[in-house]
Amino acid sequence: MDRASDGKKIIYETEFNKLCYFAYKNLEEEGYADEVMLPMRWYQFGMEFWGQPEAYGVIYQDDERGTRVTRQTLSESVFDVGQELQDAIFKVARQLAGKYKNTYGTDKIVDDSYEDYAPTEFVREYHDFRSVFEDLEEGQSSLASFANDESPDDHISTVRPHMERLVESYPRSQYDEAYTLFRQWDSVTRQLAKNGDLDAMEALASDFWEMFSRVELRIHHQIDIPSEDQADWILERPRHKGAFEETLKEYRQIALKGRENTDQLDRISASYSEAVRSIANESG
Amino acid sequence: MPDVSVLDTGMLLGAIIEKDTHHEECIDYLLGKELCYVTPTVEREFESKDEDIRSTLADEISQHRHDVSSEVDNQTLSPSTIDWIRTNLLNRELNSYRFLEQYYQNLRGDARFSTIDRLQVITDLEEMELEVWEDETEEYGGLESLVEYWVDPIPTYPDVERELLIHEGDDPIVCIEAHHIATEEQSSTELATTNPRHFIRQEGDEPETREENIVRVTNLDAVVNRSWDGSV
Repeated sequence: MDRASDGKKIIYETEFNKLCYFAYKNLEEEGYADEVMLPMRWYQFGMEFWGQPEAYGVIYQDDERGTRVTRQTLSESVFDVGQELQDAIFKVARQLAGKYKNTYGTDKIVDDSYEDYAPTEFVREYHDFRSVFEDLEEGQSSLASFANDESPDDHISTVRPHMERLVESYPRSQYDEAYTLFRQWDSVTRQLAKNGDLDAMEALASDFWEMFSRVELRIHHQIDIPSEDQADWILERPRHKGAFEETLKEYRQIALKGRENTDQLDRISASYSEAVRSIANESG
Repeated sequence: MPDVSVLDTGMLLGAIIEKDTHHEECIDYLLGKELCYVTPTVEREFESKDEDIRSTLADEISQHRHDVSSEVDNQTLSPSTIDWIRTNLLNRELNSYRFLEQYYQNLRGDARFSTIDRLQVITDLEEMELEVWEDETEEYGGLESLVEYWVDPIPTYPDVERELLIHEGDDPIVCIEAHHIATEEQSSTELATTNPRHFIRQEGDEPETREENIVRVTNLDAVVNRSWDGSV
């Protein structure tokens, strides 16, 4: 990429991660998956490189836009692989550099990574769901919405179709560890949308996806991660789930405080009360 | 009428859950009393049961809503689709089975006169999930404003405990704690309950009613039943 753009292209970590993954997928298609040995895991914003960057010939440096990736001078030993694989690596590197050397920002490469390689439909739907915040923020600040007196009703009507697609696409047997928390997040998020509390909804979504990445994504969708790291991630699951449960409690209180009263349970209160007393008698 | 009251766990649940059958009886009682104590055992039991009830029911409803979203494609629900949901998506083992079944029975009745949208069912279930978490004492400043938590140590009273007929779960401990509060307070004290079977009535071949037994062997002056008896 550096060469293809005559040194003009600045590459940030997000783009680097995606390029590495695209290269891996290309090489996998050509039958070199077992020889590449580049540890990667799916995390919050897609597949990412896992390990010390120096070991793979790059350096990470923070600047005002993010984490910038620059290449180190590489020794010949880095390319101590078979000629056939070396040719395949050069070929895919040239292809990807040609494709992305003129793109500015990371939106395109990120969208491409979800479009082509999201590990499940649910992950692809969640990526789409993230755009809802930009849509709602733009809507909130526009003169048109001011003139139309947009109410929180509009928020839930924008959010609900996304949430429904997430519910329908959730692979329950695959992501079973986080399924209960997903349902609870969904429930609170819909109420926050009804309240028009965009900030709380966005913050909770970020916390949810961080938990989800730790509890499900990095464990199910990874390549060549050392087994001891995988074992650590599995052991860490209860801690991340517990922390998110506490977060959910806080946001549920926020959702309840801003909520307009409803009376769905009133018409069925007798049988509801029986359920309450039945659980009370069974527990504790 | 006794000045001091000690509450059992059912009284607290009744106070905070509006849709509970005993809600009116419990909240009226708490609002009408000068001093209502919550014993350490009741506090612990209440916290555990309150969380358990709400999280169990909210979770079952949300699970059901997700099943409806995933399994029902029709945008309008005919009576036969509603029956299909009742048969295939409501598990009789669920704690929420009876009230969700009641909800669909009502909906089926409504479907004879108007169109039922799938979205309406999704929205109704969303609302139920949040209603489950409502705390009805909030309008009075929360439970903390209505009760006092007994924090001082409570000794054992083996002689009293030996004579008590009540034996279910933590109920004997609650009686002992109430006895201690009555002893310490030195003013007329009663125990309020929503569970007449454990605290009031005569059970099996026991020689006296539970109420008579508690009043006889402890320093409590009365045991009051605040369960709703079905009258309006």
